[in-house]
Amino acid sequence: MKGAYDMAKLLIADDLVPIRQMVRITLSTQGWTILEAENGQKALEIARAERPDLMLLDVDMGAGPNGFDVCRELKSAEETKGIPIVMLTAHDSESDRAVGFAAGAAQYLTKPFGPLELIDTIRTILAPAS
Amino acid sequence: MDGERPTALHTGLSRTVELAELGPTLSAESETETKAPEIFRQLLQQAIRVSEQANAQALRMATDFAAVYAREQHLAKDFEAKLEELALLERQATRYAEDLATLLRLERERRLELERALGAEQNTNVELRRTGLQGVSHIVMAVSLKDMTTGQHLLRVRKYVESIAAKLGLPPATVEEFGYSSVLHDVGKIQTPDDILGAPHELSTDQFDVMKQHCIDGEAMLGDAKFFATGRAVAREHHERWDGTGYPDRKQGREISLAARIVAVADVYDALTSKRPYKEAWSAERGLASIEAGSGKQFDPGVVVAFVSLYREGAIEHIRTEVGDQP
Repeated sequence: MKGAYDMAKLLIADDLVPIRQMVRITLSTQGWTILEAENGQKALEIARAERPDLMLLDVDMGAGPNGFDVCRELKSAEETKGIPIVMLTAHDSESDRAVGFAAGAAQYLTKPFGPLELIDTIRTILAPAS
Repeated sequence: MDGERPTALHTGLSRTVELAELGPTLSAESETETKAPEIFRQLLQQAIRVSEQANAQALRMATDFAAVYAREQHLAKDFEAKLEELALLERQATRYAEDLATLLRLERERRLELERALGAEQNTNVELRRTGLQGVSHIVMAVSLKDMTTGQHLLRVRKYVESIAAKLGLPPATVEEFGYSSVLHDVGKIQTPDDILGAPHELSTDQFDVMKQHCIDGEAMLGDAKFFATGRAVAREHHERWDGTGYPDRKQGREISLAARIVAVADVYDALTSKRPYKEAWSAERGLASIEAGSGKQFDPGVVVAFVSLYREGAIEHIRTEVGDQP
């Protein structure tokens, strides 16, 4: 379990390259492997193919399914519903949060996010519950 | 028909038809005066044509405007989206910069704090060592005034001890500690009565019991500071013997601290090879033979091996002549 935690594979879905870079650089400091998707459709494809240990989902990612859609879809499929999902979006209203959690998100982070906040959130979710 | 007219006038394409209908109606009303209605008809036609053109122009302009507006609005939307994106990235970058700056500042403060603490500790350590070493020299001075032991004897013992300790492979800090502790081996003699210290003959059993007390007194004198821990062991145990027949506790072998085992060899060798009121100085060879003879009985064989090895290297003789052969 410890080994799995150290070698976690994470997927970040965001249409903005700089955000993806920021997340990748931040999370790779923890030794985690980072996969990237630039839109909702890609996020779904990679999630199904790679089964990441955790996903970070932006909400607005241009055309195609948005982050909430992606979350709902993954949660509705047996093989992907176990992937914890963290919403990472500039949508910071209570109703947006509610939508996110209703879609099955484990956590809801709003932009701008801080590096430690991001790492801590993921650590808490990945840490083996004991 | 009257009711159709306003409607027809509003629709551009059916206008010609409407005018054809309009014509007969007008001419029917005044059949004799054909000129005036004809002119009126023509004027009306012209007016309508002008208005028609104006309409078309306006329509075209409106269409164009709408098109341009739509295009502009599309552009504006893209632009707004881009601006929003940039604003988001700016906020995100700012947040990261702030967080990282905070981390950096905390890290720097923590390091400075550590450096300060370390500096303070070092100063304290240096000061404590200085105090300890000064204490050693004061005690030694006091003992030297009372005992006939000289500073040179203590200095030689110290150098023998340091050489042996180094030969045994002890770390430099331990070598130094054994060195300054070795000069404290006889501090307890400050409490030994002068007549027993200065007795020119063999001591009686009672007197010898009093003499033995200097080991216990020495240990007690050196308090409980860590700096003097080895000094206390040396003071207490330097008359113990490897075979367990020494005093004051009849400790044997490794029960005796290593520092004391080394001091025993150094102290005895220097006493043998120095002139004393009751005896001449022995030669180096005779001193060495005596030490070798004591191996495993009075002395730790391992320490004797190191000492003999140093002797063969000439290191022992070098110390003896360098410090001086005075008693």
